Amino acid sequence: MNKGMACQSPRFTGTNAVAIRDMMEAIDAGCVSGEQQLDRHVAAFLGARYSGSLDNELDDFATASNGEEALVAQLGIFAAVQFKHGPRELPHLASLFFNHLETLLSPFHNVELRERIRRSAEQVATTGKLPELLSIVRNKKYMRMDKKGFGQPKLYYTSLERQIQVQQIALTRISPVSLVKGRVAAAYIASCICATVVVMISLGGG
Amino acid sequence: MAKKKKKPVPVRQKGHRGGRGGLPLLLLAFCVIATMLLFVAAPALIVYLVGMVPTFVAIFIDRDPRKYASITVAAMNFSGVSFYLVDFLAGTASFSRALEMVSDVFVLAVIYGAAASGWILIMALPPVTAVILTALAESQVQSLRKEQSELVKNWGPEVSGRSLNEPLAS
Repeated sequence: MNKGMACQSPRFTGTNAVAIRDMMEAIDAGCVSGEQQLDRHVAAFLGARYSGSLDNELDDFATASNGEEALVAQLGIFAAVQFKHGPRELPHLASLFFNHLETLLSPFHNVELRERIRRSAEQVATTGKLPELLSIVRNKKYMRMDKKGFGQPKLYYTSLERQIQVQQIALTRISPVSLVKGRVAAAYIASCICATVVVMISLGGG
Repeated sequence: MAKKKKKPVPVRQKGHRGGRGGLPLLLLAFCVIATMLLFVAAPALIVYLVGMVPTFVAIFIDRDPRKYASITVAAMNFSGVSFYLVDFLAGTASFSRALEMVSDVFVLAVIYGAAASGWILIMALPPVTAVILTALAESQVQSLRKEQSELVKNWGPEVSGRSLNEPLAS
């Protein structure tokens, strides 16, 4: 890779960005709506100039199987680059990722937790700090908590479904059951009436 | 030496638990009262036997082994008869009074009317019970569905095992 060569991406031909920081500023200024902010030229440019290894992040992006994974991988790449090379703020990129927050939060199930993450992300998005945004939307503790907590309501939902089925079956068999229970109730009521009458007559007679 | 064959254990068939149900108890109660009347106030036995005819009919036509209909009719019937047994138990009535009573239409109407109210109970309560049981089961289903929708509200539609695009069953 020629580190002195400007990015060859057709989107950034006019910028002549050679330094990684200039490139990030150009990406931030020219970011377009949509989930795809990274093409192979930009990826190669960042990979070549990043001080350290960006292989894991680039690999995640290359192997992303859906929109959510691709979006997180891009956020990971940009966050890593911003953390090491700056600039301190990338407001357009941050707000662009914030616009796709629903996609980013799709692995979370708990509505309350999603809302909490959304509020935190909203605050961070205005500062333009992608590493912070990434640490919020992919908070390992939150993800673990959500995953652990999700099993229980899922099981409970299934048990409720089973109870509903039992009740529905009981509803179809209500006729013979009610015949027996109705007769039992009639026998009890009649016995109570009889006992009351006998007691009253005995007391009256005595 | 050949082993002794074990005797097969008699298996009690389902639906026959409790033997003949309420019939023995009913007959026992009837006999106890009849015996008591025979010793305490013999003329009362005539009123008792004539008055309890609807109970014999109920025992005869009730095919249920648990004899709930017979018990109901017997209880109501005895309520009606007991009004007229008081006179005998107080020692103020004789055989002629007993015969007079059993030939009185009003007396028989009261006694048999009480027995008829037993049949009314037997016929009216099963539909009422059906309505109550249906309402209970439906309200139970509704509350379970409500709990399910609460779970979906808190955890998203994936909690039901369905994907986001799949519509939830109503």
